[in-house]
Amino acid sequence: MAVLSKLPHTAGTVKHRLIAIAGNPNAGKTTIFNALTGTRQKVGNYAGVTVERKTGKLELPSGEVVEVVDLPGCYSLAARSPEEQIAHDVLLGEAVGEQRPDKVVVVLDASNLRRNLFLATQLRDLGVPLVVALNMMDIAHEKGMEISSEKLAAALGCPVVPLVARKGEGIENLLAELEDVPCNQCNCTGVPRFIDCLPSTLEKPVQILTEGLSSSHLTDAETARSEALWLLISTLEGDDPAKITPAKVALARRVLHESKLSTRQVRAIETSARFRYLKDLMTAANAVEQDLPHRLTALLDRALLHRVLGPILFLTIMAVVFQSIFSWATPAMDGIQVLVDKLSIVTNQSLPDGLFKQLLLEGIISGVGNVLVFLPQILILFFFIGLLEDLGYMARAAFLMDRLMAKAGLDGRAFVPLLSSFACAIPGIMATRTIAARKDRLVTILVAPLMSCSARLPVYTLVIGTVFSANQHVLGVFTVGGLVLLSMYLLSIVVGVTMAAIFKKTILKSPPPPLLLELPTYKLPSLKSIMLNLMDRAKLFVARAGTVILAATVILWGVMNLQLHPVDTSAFDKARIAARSNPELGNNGYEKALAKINCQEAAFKLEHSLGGRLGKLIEPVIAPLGFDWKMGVGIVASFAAREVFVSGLAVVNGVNDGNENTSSLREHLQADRNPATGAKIYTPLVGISLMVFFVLACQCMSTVAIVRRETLSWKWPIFMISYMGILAWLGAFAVYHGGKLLGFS
Amino acid sequence: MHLPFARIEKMPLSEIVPLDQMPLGTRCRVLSMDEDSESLLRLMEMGLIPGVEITIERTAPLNSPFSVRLPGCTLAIRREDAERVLVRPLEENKG
Ligand SMILES: Nc1nc2c(ncn2[C@@H]2O[C@H](COP(=O)(O)OP(=O)(O)OP(=O)(O)O)[C@@H](O)[C@H]2O)c(=O)[nH]1
Repeated sequence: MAVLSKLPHTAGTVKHRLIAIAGNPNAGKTTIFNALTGTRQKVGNYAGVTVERKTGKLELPSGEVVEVVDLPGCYSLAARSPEEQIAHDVLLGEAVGEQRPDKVVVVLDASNLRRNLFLATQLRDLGVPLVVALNMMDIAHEKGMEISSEKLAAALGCPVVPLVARKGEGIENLLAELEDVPCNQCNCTGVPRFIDCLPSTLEKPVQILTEGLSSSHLTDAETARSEALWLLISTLEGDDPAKITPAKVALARRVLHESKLSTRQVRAIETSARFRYLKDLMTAANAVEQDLPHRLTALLDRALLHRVLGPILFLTIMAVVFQSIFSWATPAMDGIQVLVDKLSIVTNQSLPDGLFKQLLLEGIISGVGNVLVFLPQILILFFFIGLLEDLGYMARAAFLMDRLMAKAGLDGRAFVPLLSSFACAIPGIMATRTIAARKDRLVTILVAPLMSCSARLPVYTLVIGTVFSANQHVLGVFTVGGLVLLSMYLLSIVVGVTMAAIFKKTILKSPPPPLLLELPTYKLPSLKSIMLNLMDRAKLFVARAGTVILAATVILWGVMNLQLHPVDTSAFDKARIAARSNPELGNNGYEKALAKINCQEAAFKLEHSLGGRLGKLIEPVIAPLGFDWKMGVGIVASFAAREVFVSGLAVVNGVNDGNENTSSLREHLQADRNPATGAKIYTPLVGISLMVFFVLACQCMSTVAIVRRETLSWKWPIFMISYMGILAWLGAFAVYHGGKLLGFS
Repeated sequence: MHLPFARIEKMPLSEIVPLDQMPLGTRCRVLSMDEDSESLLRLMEMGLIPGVEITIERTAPLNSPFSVRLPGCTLAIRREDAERVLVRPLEENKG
């Protein structure tokens, strides 16, 4: 009984108290969140937006378990990017489906105290129960700032805990303070808040609006005034007025009109006045800011941001990142392939033959393989991004690239995702989350798959090897193959940049977003944070895009293997029997003959499968590009992944060695002739047309799956397939017919 | 708005310069900025407010953005935003 009585009555629906962690970007929120929750974390999304939602469980010293949420960083509650909007909504209990936090930890970077206090005092004005985590005390100390947390606490009227979160110093004290803060009630009493000493220009409108609103509020006078001020700042922008009732909006508009002020003017006045107020507060806390440059940072920046050296170093760093996704991931990907193959072999041996086994082997197991094979690239890319971000270099990269990317209508932060897309668009698209403006992020996502990814390489290799004498030298050091390959990469860049500019000017038209870029001091990275982040990426990818990729693989397997009508394969059985009973062949010859018959049978079956029929069905569409139905089958098959084009082409041609580097498939293709005219099918012109098609078409269901996940709708992935498909057709058509007109073949 | 216009008018005109015209490395005080620009409002929230003393550190390779050191942090400002921030060089530069 005693045990039973301890159980809460509402077992199963217990709501833990919620503690939110807020603060400026880079103040150390995530580090503190990790220190508090360890590995008991969950990553998800906020309802309806692609902003990441990180929560975890924490046990307070008293034994109470509370939920902790790590909010996106923001500079001011008036800010308007999706991330900042979410932070604001959660803090004020306005976010859909989110509980209002019972207590808030506001993390401050002590080395930049005044700016960080800005947000803290905005929260205090609104009556949010606060604990101030005064982080980065080590850096403040290095800068010669001696901040007294007691004096700051007295000036702010709420608990202040000094921390060096990266070393775990101060976390204990933070826990103790967290326990003591009363829930849901303002704990900052007894000191003048900013809202009590507004400049005269704001005093009157705030006063009038507070009176106008008063009937509907039960809060204390200061909080009511803060809410009025808040309303004056947020109404007219019209970004998201849904959450504010029309009556309030109308009232606020009228007040603004009467006082001849605009929302922006109120914002500007509030900002300046609050900074002036903070100066006094800091003087009271004996925390005078030092305008000294961080020595190490100044030194490193002299090289890393140098006008000539800076870009060279940037390109070098990017080359290392790119090379590592491109080639270091290969052994791991091969390893995954070996494991998947092993699993196939075991399954093959332990199950009876039949359609189910085939589905399991070629649909499900290879589908799982298709998902896992992306993990090495994703992990390597996000390791580097995490490392560079933690070091403080990513902001410098955006600084260096801002102007150049702006010319294409892109954000400076789009560079790394686009570069990564040359290895694989999946991690590249996942990395676009650092781009704050929604439309700019969409533009980047839409053009990322145009970057020539590594899965296209086998196709280029096969085609170049088939239609050109790839090793022939031109212009001395270059080879034909190398030059053709280079031009494919250049084509992908040119088209990508052009499409970005077009999208930015048409369907995703938006003014260039403000550059909100702080160049932080360089810091030693924390491996633990990077690793935790890597685990999140991996989990998110497998759980979200993985399911779609798996399902698509199974469907595609069905398309390539199921026949609409039963086909007659008895001819092959007869041929096998004939081969066995042919004494002239001998053991070796029999094996060879059998392999040949099997290949022919596979080709026959594929021809009559849904995929084969689709290949023939689309032949009239692709014939103007110089393609035949066999390439059509390859194109259908390549939707699983582009490199499958090669093995698909091998099967449909009845070649059992589907490797782009060996000669058997190449020779077969070189000999392939049009049955009607007897002309060669794989001419150099058709080859180039085919490669151009592969550069431009979105033949990758994993990309489609990840775009669906990152945009939370089918609209954009469908748009992407369509626009890239049209582009590919037009491109290949122009090459084929343009070439013919110029007399090439 | 924040600095009474009377005071700005009394200064020799040559001393009031848009931020983008200042030579790199100078220290100056922010006098006023265009408050009707969203970018500048955001920069204000990041600490670039009238009255603050700043150092123009460098520009990126294509001459934009600038990096500007404030007490406590370093911010990037695009050239087109910098044009709308008026500053006055501090005495110490002349020494
Ligand atoms: N020197 C020092 N570095 C710290 C401290 N706390 C965090 N850092 C480092 O500061 C950087 C930023 O920390 P994060 O925890 O990612 O900051 P954040 O506020 O979550 O940043 P965003 O998620 O970008 O908003 C990381 O490189 C940390 O390792 C500290 O107390 N001292």
